[in-house]
Amino acid sequence: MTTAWHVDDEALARWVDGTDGSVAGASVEQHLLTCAACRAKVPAEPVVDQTWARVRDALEVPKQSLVERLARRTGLSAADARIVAVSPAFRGAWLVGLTALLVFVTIAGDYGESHGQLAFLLLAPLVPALAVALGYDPELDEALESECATPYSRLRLVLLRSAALVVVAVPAFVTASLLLPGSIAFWWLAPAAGCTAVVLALSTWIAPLTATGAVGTVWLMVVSSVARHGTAADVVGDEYVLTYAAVSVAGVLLFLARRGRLAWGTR
Amino acid sequence: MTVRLTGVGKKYGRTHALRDVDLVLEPGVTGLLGPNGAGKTTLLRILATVLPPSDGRVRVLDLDPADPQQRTEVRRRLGYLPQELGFPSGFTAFAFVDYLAVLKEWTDADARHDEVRRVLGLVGLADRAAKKVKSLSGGQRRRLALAQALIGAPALMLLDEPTTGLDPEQRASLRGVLAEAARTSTVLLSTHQTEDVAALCERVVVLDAGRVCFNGTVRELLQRADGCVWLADEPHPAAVSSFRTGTGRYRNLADPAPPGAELVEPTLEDAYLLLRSDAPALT
Amino acid sequence: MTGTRSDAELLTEVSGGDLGAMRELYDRHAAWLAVRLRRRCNDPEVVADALQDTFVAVWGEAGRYRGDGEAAAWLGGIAVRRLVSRLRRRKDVSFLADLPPYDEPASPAAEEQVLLSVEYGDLGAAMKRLSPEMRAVMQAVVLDGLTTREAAKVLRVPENTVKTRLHRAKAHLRTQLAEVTS
Repeated sequence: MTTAWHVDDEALARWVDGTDGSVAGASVEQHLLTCAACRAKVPAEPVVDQTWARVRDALEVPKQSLVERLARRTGLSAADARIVAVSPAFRGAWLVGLTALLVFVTIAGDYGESHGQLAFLLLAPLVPALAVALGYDPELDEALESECATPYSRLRLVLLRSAALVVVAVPAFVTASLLLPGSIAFWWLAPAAGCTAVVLALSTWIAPLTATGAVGTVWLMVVSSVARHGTAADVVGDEYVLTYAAVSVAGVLLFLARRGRLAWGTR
Repeated sequence: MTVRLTGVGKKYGRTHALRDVDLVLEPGVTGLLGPNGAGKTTLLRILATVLPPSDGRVRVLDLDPADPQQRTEVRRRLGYLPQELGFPSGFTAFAFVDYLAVLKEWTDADARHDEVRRVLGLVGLADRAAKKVKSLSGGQRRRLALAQALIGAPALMLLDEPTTGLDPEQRASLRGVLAEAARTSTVLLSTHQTEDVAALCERVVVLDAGRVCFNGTVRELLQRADGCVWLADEPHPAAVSSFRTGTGRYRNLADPAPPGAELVEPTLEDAYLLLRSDAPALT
Repeated sequence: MTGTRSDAELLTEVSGGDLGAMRELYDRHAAWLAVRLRRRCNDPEVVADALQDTFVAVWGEAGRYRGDGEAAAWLGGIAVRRLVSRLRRRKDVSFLADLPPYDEPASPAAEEQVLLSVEYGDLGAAMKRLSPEMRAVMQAVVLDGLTTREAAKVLRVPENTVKTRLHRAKAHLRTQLAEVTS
């Protein structure tokens, strides 16, 4: 809308200074709302320039995600917290998957002690291993090739993301194991450690998710064979736990010995 | 000398992706040409320290990438645009570059944000900074990928087909960015576009089946096609390329031209095609 | 291409996430909006915050601008509302603080028909005879376009009080102006 009438310079200056009255001021403002020419004559105060940088920051600088803020709380540096937060597994799918597994185990538990334990022991020890694999599998990490060419330590990236995912997953399963009837309690953590260590070690040869698939297959065979000759809970019996400990130590040592393969990046 | 490769090879099982590559790169833009599967990407990945070579010696920025500490130092001074770069889902353009800058040890948030703005500006994406990556066009995503390689004005930039998917205007503006970057850096530019090489590069390396089949200045490569391109009323049966031009005459490329032919100035593409025609056919 | 785009076109671009269009819109409107805010609040910090909030809100709400009516009026409304919202958090700073005395004649224009239909000198005189409380309500509701509820919040009085004062102020003005014009 164009108007023939315009605010004269003096009236505008008084409006800018605030030395006119509220009626005169309101009249000027009312005109400004419809007149681009008069608006353009209003001089920019220093606050205008200073505020643009703040507006721009508010619009383009990404806000810290919840995961990132929590990671900062635990004492991680800003960089480490960001690495954890960008982990592909923190995009909902992981939490949904965990919940689904827990629901499955709970339903199986309703069919009796042995069913509940079997379901739990088939799945729970693989969860940390899966968590580790999801943290740095090349198939899931779209920007991996670029990440690998940065000075940020790849080993550190793998371990941070793995640790973060395990921290999310394990408490839920520990709680579930305590709620289940029977006496498996914390013992399932032993095969869980074993599986995780083997996945870490294998990931210096093959992709982490492929490694998890292989380890998972072996584990399912072990559990079902043990369950056939007794109950599933035997698989966390004393005689097995030592084996898991040995496998865990061997896996971690192998992983550390071969970490240079990871450090080079993708294959 | 920024890069020196001596007898570098890369094997995948029994396949040689690279074989016995000797190469020296100096500051400025060097073009890397070659057909698909010639080993361009493998060479770039070895230089980017994401792939260890099977044989030979690699020196990058006077450092040895085989040594973990020196490798990290190389990465501090490296900008790398992979051939295919995905983007974590849900990221904005700004967040993506900011994330890579975090990995590149830009710990001070204000300085990092300024740097992110700078590189987004260089690739013409300043106004798109707050957009989600998935809402960007293919060409914009390619430029975004390039932006992360420009962070911190690295001493060595390895760019794998940066101009793919760009329209002519975007390519032209990208050339401006690269030419500017090359005043202080060593840039290795892998491309299928001989025009990019002609416009930007002083030197050119041509790879074929994992071997270097040409390494010299752009002028030297052009000279190989001198006297090999001519116009005629008929297509030449033995020509490397022969096509009917807008004027109705045929532009023939063959070595050598028949006596008395109407010679025309060769392009870099002519020289490249001629070079390729001398190479043994790929199996 | 640029420079001739209308505010409405800029707002469309802004709703698509274009920071360049946002900058252009800012350059066009931030200066006068800053003065508009400063006239209603004497705390520079709150003014700066409200100015920032205004454009952050514009970024998020640009898609809701219908394109009918002046974009400037739409922006001006957002600015006042952002200021109100900031002031709710800062109990020590008040809306309409330190209104200057107004004995100057005004130029023609104002919101309501009754106000437009009279000579500005008379309006000024009529407003002057209102109590400060009534003036504040008139400014908040009639000129800044706040709802009575929002006005109640900024002026920190019950909503019913705002309605009563507004009613009385309008009646007062009407009587006064009727006297003058007849």
